[in-house]
Amino acid sequence: MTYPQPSANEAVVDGRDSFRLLTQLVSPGDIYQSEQSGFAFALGPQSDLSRINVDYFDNNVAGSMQRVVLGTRTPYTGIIQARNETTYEAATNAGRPPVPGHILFSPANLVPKIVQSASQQVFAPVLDVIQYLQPPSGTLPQVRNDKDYFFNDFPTAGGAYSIFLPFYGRVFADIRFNTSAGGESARIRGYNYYSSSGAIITTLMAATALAGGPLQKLVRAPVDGFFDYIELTVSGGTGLAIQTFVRFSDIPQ
Amino acid sequence: MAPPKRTTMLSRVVSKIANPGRPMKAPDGGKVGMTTLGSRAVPQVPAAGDTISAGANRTQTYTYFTAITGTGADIPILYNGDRLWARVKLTLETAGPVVVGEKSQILPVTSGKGRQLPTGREVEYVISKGTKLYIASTTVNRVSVTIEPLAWLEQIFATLNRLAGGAVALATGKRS
Repeated sequence: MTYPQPSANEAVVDGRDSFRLLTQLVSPGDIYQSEQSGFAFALGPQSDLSRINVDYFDNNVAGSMQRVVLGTRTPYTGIIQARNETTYEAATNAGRPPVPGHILFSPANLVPKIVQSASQQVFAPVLDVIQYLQPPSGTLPQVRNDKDYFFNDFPTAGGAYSIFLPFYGRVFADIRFNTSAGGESARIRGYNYYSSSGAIITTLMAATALAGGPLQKLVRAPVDGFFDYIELTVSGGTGLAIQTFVRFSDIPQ
Repeated sequence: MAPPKRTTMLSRVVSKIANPGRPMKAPDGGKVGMTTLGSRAVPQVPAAGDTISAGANRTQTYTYFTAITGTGADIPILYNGDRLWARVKLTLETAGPVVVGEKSQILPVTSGKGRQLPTGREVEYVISKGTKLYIASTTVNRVSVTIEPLAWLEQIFATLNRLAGGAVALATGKRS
């Protein structure tokens, strides 16, 4: 959870009609809060997560906490009021302090532990949610923006190097490797996490030699499936520059 | 020769009472005269003027930011009722909940003691002197406020008051 937390009250003071919570997650258990009521909630255009929990105060349910899950094509319209003057019911552990009845945002997708090392780089997913402080005047966003990554090189001097990119809910990926000469190989795999450190791994492209020139792989959800993360691994150790271009999209192509 | 008309002490006192506006001498043995004040049960309010001061005639417009009002805290006053008549227009620009009311205790916001402001719609109150408008919320909100005078109402009231006083004076032959 980033500190200080983005404050929805700043959006009110600044004269805006919506609050946008845009933050990179730090851990799988990140929870963000809003002290503002909202007329509608939607996934933001830069969200890596495909599903976000919105928890709010409701006396009709046990624990007084009701949940609605936002999706790429399922925004929520309807006023949700932040009950800052009250608290959610305390857990059975008597030592736990009561939680104020703010609106809470948290990832609904399973997020892995973000572990960086000399042989891998994990991109933490971005949480992007828009809270409308006034009734929205048009339709709410239904798809996320295409996400582009460009890597000028893979540091494979020490051996294989992997890059993990969030792919939650995307239906199309265009991945292109480009080298000036041969000697390196590239592999693409998809990860579906069942815990913060465990995943079911699917090979989308087995290790393929890069012979100089471009190498392209398209991933389509109806054929290849849905994945939480895409892993790109390059190995060879020749030190050649390997440029990689990646595009993830919510639009089938 | 007719005998002189005899008057009693009581008749002299009664003749004095017929003119309550004139100061009376204290009865024998007393040093404090009776007051000339009329009925003390009627509250005294300043008479409406037929000339309006610049201060009472001005319009105020601003954006009010509500703070989170805690339980037991003093409820902020949005309008203090200093004008004889005023038109107060409120527009909530964010999601609320914000309540307004004439009572000093309008929390909780869902209790019904105050009126919840709808978002994006102007709410208008015509408020007489002495009525305060309180505002409370459990979130930070923007409320656009416009306070306009009803000066013509005050002038009309003063003119009617003067006319009525003149009519009474004509009828009774006495100044009010």
